[in-house]
Amino acid sequence: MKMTMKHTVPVLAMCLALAAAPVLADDDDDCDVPVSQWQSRDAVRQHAAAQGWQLQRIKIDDGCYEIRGRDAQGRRFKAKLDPQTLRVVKMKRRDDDDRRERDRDRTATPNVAPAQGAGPTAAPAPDQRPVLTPGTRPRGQIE
Amino acid sequence: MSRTQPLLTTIAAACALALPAMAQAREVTLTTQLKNYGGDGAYLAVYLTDAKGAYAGTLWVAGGKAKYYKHLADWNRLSAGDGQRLQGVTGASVGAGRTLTVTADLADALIDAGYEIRIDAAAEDMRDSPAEIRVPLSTAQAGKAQAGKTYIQSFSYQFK
Repeated sequence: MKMTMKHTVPVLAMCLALAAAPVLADDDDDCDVPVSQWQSRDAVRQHAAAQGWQLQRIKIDDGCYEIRGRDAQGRRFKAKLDPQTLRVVKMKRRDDDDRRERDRDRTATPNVAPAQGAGPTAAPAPDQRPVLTPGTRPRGQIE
Repeated sequence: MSRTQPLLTTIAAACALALPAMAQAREVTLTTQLKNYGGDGAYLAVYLTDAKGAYAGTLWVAGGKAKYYKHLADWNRLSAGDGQRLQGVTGASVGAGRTLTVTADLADALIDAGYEIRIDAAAEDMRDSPAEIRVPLSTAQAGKAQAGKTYIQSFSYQFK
């Protein structure tokens, strides 16, 4: 069967779309709104107050507003808001118990840098990739 | 026929040049299954260190946002001088419970020569885990599964 140019283009487009899918999925909590359409920080505070949230911090991350505070039930949370609509893009709630457990974990096994000489040291020359066969690239797949 | 002859000559020459390089390469498949740690997708850096413990190269980095690479602390520090550490070796972060399979063509000289495969791991709002995995790159170690400290349920690799 012969494949015409008419058919080749959509097939190629589909292949590209499929290849890009994992990358896009990784960034699904990003916002992409022009600065001119952003609502102000005051608008974020008012929106939060209307939800019964007590804000502790507002910052900008990955093109979204990122807020931290306590929700109407008093639970700690972190959320990303669309800067134009103030819609919640991502919300993580955290119980104080979780936090205490994590703090205890950190105290038990402190995350310290390895002692000098114990770990790996110098980096190779920047233009060298000695481990991979020239002309080849690793392939990664997530299942 | 005369038109195809130069083409055949070129193909034969290309094969002659490529074959010695292929003979010195070995395909390795690394399989990393994550635990159900109940958090966001993990960032992983898979890299090699040589017999002296010096950084040798990066095989794969799962996770696309450079701002999080500092949490892959050992890899980030050791590979800082490698300007091409990310070239062609990046993919999406790996969700809890999922499996990352990386296939790479390694130089034969690296195998059974004291090199080590290391994996650093981190996830948002969770603890960083540098050197989550450290295993020798050897024919004896191939096929043996090893668990990580925090995020990795099992890691193993196979030579083709």
